[in-house]
Amino acid sequence: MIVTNNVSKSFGKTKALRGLSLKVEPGEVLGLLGPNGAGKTTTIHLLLGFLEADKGSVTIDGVDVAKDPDEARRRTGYISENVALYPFLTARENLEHFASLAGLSFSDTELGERLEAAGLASHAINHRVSTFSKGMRQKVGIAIATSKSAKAVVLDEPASGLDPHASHELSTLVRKVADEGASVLMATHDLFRAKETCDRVIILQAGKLVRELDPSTMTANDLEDIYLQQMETKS
Amino acid sequence: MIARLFRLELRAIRSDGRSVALLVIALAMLVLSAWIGADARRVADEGRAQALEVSRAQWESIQGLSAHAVGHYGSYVYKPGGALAALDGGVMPFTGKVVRVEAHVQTPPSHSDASSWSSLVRLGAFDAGSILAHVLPLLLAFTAFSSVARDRETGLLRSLVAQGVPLRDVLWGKVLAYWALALVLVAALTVTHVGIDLTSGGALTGDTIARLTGFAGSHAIHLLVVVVLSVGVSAWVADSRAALAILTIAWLGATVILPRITAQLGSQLYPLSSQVEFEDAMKVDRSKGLDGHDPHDERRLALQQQILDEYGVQNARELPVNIGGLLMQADDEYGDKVWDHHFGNRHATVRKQIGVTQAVAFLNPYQAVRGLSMAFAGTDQFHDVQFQRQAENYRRVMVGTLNNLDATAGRRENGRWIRDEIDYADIADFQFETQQVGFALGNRWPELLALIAWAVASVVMLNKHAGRIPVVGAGR
Repeated sequence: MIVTNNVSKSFGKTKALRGLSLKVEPGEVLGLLGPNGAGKTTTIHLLLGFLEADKGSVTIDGVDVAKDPDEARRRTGYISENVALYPFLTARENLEHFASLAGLSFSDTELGERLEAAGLASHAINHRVSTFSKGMRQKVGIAIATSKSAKAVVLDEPASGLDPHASHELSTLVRKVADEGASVLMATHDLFRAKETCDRVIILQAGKLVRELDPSTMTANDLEDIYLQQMETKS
Repeated sequence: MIARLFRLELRAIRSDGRSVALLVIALAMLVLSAWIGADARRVADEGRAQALEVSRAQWESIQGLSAHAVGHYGSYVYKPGGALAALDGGVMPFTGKVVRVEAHVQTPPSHSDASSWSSLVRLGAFDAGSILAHVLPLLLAFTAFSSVARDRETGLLRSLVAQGVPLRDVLWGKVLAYWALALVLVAALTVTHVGIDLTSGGALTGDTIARLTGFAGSHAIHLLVVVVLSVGVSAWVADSRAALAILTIAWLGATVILPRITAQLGSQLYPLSSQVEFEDAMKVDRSKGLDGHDPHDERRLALQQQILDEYGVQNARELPVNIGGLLMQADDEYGDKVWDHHFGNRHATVRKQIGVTQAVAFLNPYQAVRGLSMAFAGTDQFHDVQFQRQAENYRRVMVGTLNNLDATAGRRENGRWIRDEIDYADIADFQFETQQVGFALGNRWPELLALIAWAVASVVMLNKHAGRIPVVGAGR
């Protein structure tokens, strides 16, 4: 379970988050919507312990991130907007390396299967990632994050750079991860993808949670209308 | 986990053409410096052997001269190059390597290498010690400055940390990788030096091995400090360009500015008289007596009377010995006291100046390793003082022997002193007694302590603060 309790974070005079409280249950996918600068990435960095909250607490699977960030991270899978890999390693070697850092060991066959499951073409598996497009690197990142079988998965604009087909595959994969019991939090600008993937979405604006929605009760167009209305209201 | 990160970091460095180029340049410089140093040592050894041969032949060809005249004829003492002088010249290029030894006067060492250098050579020594202590840290800073900052900028640091890897392990993987490369360079230099030495007829004694171990070990510790600081700055500073700027300024301060300030401070706090002033003071004290007591003429008259009383005679023409030899020996012994007094004071002042550098070594690891490097190479001020002392001791023995011959090798005939024919070949050449490694450590323990303190402190600081380094850049 992912829990933030009244979390605030400022950068100088800029208040990035103002008392954010949220909970993502096991098996649930929570979409985090909001314009640029709303606090989505700050929230994710706080969940991963990359930043320390000024106020409030964050727990991952019951582990206080501020007290034991390494243990909290071990229980978390993470995909960033721009997945960073070792450019001189192949996709397989990258996955093998990152998995071993998480204490996991896979056979060559398993590594290949996991990369393919993340949408990477089989012929690319043994190529150096320095030759990869952003979308291909993103798929390796997805394979790395999902291979941990983590209790929590945090995605920051994961579909960025993916083609529509790969983006759909990602949604399927995210749902599968949630169905296996993980709590998933996904920050995105893509309302259609949010509607397709998430059980619940929240809208952040200027660091505050301003709206919580159940996407299953509306169409993607409805979701977009509500989102835009919300932006106009607050601006 | 650290081992895996270490291997990955090595591969990352290998894949970075700029880092590889810098390390290849460092390797080439070290190997070249070892070869140049060995060649310079060979040339110096040959020159010394030739000079020794000539001066010995001249000495053995002396005929018909009185022992007193031979005392003035004098001889030469040549400073041998230490076994590791090829690795670190230390202060040797600036100190004299030849001492003229003669009766009644102590001559300072002359013919330093620097006295014959062109202005270009004066710009800097190209020896392995300088490269390891001065150049290699800059090259390491140029390769390591972005080690963490770059990973933070590309997001790789986030990817690693998100796997649950402790930040401390990430930093240690990098530190060990860069240090391993530095150690490879030190090892390559050591092997090259030993190889050249053995193939050119040298022998590895226990002391040479101990000195070589101390030399390589002290540079290895210094390079660990450099790597920890470089990676630490890269980890703490917001971006890689700022990290490079900080490391470059730190290098400049440690290797150029602080050593000069220290030297200036040492000479301000403990001023050293010039060679001319030193020699003038010796002359004055020798003639007027130390501190104005016991002037030369009074000393001579008193001694003359004492000798006559001892033999129970009225004048020198009745003595069974040549009183001139006895008086000269007494005068030389007094001169020895004067030299001991002034040289002792001078050395004490130099020691105090070195003490300032040793104190500053606790602030600047570069100054610690420079002192240790030349001490293990046998080329520091303390080793030079040992040579001067041994040369002076040889002079005293030689002059004492000649004065004794002048006093006793002859007979009295009708009141006149008839000298025997003397074979001066019996007086042996100067034999330099090499100082053992314990001598180097005994004089340089503050630097060793400072270097170890730096290594421990930097490692502890890195461990303590590693968990708090920024994983993401500034902003959201």
